[in-house]
Amino acid sequence: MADFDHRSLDEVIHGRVRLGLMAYLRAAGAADFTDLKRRLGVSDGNLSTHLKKLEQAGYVAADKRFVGRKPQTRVRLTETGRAAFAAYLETLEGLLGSGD
Amino acid sequence: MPDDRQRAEDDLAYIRAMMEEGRKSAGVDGGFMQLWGPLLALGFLIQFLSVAGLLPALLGAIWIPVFVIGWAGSFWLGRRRACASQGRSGRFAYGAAWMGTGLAVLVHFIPALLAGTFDPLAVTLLSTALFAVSFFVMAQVTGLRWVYGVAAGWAGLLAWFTVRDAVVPGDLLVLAAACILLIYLPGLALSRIGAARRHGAGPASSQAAG
Repeated sequence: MADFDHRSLDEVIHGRVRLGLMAYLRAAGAADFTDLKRRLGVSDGNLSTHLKKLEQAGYVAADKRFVGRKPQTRVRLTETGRAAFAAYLETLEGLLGSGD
Repeated sequence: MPDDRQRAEDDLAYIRAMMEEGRKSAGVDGGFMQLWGPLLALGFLIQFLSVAGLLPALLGAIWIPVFVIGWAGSFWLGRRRACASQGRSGRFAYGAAWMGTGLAVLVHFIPALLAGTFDPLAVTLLSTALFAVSFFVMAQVTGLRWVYGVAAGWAGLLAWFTVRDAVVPGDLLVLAAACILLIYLPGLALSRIGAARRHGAGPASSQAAG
């Protein structure tokens, strides 16, 4: 049986909130900040911190705009993020498979 | 390392759950159906009145404006929602199915009208088949089980018209009713579900909607 080594997983994605973010965006393509906050059950500050980390890695992009008079932040997965998430999933499934 | 392995399995389950949520959120928008349902119903109603002799018999004068208004409205709706749906693969998938349906009907209708070979039964079979397929795609993408029922409704109409020799005037009223019941009302429901998912929407409301 091969060793299960979680260090081979992408550290930027590997974390409950960021993992949830990436998975949700992978399927939805894009989402509003408030929608993400509700889905993930996190505070504004917490979500902002995680988004910033993903943005710095180039995995997500945030577009700010106004809907009526209300500012709205829309977050979308970038191509880099899409590829990184696919690689993460592949690694995770590979690790689980290697222990069978 | 059993703990790591357990965590990885939990992560994978979490990823699947979040992707399912994202997938559902991506595909709910009934605006186009709210436009096309009443428009097509009106077209069938006017055609019925025309066939009944209450209005002049001008097929093109009925349906060309319907298509022009429908496509212009769709274009306007598409532009208005382009920003909101940017990158939403689910909505893109069924939007493409509906666009293909619209184009196929148009490509069948216009040459047949120009060549004088228009066959009401042929266009009815084509339309009901394509509507059934598009709703089936929509059901798959959105994960909303009741949308399969709408697809089945159109498939039922397809089967019904398949065994008929011709479209009779009363069928135009059936089709008008179908456009309201099987296009407009599902569109209305999808828009409400979409709004609920965007603005208050957690997993619980998504499951209730599904």
